Amino acid sequence: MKDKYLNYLIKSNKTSLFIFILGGCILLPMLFSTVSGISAYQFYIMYILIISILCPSIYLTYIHKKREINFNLNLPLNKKNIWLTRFIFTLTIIWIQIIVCMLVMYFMFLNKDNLDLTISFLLTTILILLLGSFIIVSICSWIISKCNNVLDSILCIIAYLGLPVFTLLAINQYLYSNTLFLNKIFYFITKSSVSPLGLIYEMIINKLISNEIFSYQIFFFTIFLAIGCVCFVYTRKDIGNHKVEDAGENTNKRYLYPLIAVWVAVSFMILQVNQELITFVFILILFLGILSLEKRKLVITKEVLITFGILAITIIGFNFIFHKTQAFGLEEVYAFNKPEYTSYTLYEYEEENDENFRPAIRKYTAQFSDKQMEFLKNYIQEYIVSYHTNKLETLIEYDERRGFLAVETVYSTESGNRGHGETIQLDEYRLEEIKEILENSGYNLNRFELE
Amino acid sequence: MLRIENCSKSIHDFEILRNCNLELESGKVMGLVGVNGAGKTTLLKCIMGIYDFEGKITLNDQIIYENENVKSKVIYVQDSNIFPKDATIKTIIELYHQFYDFNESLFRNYINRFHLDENKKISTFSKGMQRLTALCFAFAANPELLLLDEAFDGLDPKSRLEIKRMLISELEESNMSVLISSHALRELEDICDDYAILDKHILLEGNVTESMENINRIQVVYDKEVDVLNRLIDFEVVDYKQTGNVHVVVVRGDVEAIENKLREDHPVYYEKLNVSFEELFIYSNKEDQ
Repeated sequence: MKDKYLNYLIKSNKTSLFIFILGGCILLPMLFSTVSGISAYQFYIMYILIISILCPSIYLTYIHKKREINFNLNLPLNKKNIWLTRFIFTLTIIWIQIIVCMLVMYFMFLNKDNLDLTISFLLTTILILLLGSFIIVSICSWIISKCNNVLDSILCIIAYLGLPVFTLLAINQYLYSNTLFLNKIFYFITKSSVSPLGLIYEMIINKLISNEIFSYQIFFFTIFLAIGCVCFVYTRKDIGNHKVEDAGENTNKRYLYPLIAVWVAVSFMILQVNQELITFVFILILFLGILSLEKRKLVITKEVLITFGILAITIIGFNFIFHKTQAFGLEEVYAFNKPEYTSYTLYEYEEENDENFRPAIRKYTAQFSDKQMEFLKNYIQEYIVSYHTNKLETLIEYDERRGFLAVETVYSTESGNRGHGETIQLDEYRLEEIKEILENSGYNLNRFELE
Repeated sequence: MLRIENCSKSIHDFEILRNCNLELESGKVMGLVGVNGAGKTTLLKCIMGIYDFEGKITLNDQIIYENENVKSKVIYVQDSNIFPKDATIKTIIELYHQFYDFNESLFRNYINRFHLDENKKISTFSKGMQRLTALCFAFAANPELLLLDEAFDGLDPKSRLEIKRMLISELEESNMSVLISSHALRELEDICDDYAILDKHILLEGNVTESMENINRIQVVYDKEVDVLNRLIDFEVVDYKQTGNVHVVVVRGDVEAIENKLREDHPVYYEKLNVSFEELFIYSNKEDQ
């Protein structure tokens, strides 16, 4: 790092520095005095995550601006030192705000809003934010160094940080709709977040509310920290090879727009594979749109269409085999050691938080095989009733859009409060069988009550 | 001494420089000339280390590329304003003080000469004033090697003259080498010791005075049909035009020997005309084609 250059950066970026320091260290704490402690922390973490993307997009994109890179390289500095000094400058701006604002917030909310703020909390959250911002800035700096212009950099940062979450949600949704047990596997991963943005947010809020950080969160954070370190070391080494003549040009690297286009298309296909084929036309338009961003003009070539066709056929083919083989036999594996109604499984876990952030609603889903259909009646009668003991109201509704028969139970507790029981969702093709079973059992299909 | 060895550079698969070799001795001024797209700016950017390249470029036997110590001895004035948008002369003075052996009193003397306002943003100056500002900074930074890209572009005649005087004055006081690329070849003629003609590689290089002495434009008139080209078969004829009995020939070689050959057919009129640096460049390009 070059002190002289850092000095120059500070002087030449007085305005933006003033805005960040004024905003992050003075205005935000003032604003927080008007809201609750939890809201203040939630808002502040989001602010730090945003500036961790914004600051590198401002101070590290000099390599994309012809005039700026020419000026910088005209000085007696080499490429690596320019980049390193700017990286440290960027991180320092964020870190100053983190340290100052976290200290202000700590004293502001100490003994307020029932928050258990300790020195350990303060130090832990500051450490998470310092390391977290390093991770994000490092990943952003790697992406920026691989792009040729500012717009591409920002779009790719959003894609790389956001797409893993979207893809995992798509996979989860697919498994939820098509299997009974596999979604349990992904339940854990989705919750722990596959993006550093969500993970950092989740860790600090957990620490704030329950004063604990889960081991799986530390595990994922360590992985992201390792990725951040690799991005930093690699970019520092590689920045010397960055071609000045590419500044402002279109980015034409395969792992940027082409990869993102394929990634988005596959994610959407996974999400929509069981829907009407027309949805694939919309995915194609999206796919072409992303590819067209690369050259800033519409790209419809035979090669692109063939690629999309191969992707579509692969996903549809995979879906077909997946259904035929019952998730490649995994359903059977996971069904092993389960009671007869093995198709009953947790599909969704939602929290409707009350003041103490305790789960209030749990939802479950179940699909039944031919042999297990008979179990339905007993299940409703025995399981739910025995579970809640109190008066239970069960609704059976046919969800046309999703093709499910939903069985929802609502129970009342002894104190008279109403609560939710389980929702059982059944495939459309089972509808007639279910109707028959339920009608034979004397239940009204639209609404019935259990004693 | 600046030494360029086998410098090659391609941009987006388009070859700009191919095995370019050049030497510039300390204290000398070299004019780098070439047609548009010949690679002049690219070569200067390679020297400054802005572009990476194949080959080797050294100043006093030290590689310039990515070498901060050597780069501090080189100043490159680009063909457009590269100072940051918000930069004023004042802020750049601070910067130059940190990075170069900057002579502020000399610089203030220069900017007063051109009435440049040090508190105004450089980006709000006219193109000529921006160029003057950059040149003033360059001269006051006391470099060992000064690279000037289209140095006189956008300057009014008075400023051009002033800049030339400043340059000559700097050259007298220091051992600075200067490499100037310019289209204004008439401007280079006055100040350059050497020249290099570039078109992907160095086509021709030499001393300006010697080269101009070695090329002769001769106008000769005969009262009969004479095959002038055949007469000069032993010489290198660069250009030839005939209008009636008037022959104009541009030829390299010993002027006395050429005159003797042409006088063998007893011309009614014979005159040796001067060749400018600009014409030297044009003829060199013709030869190449």
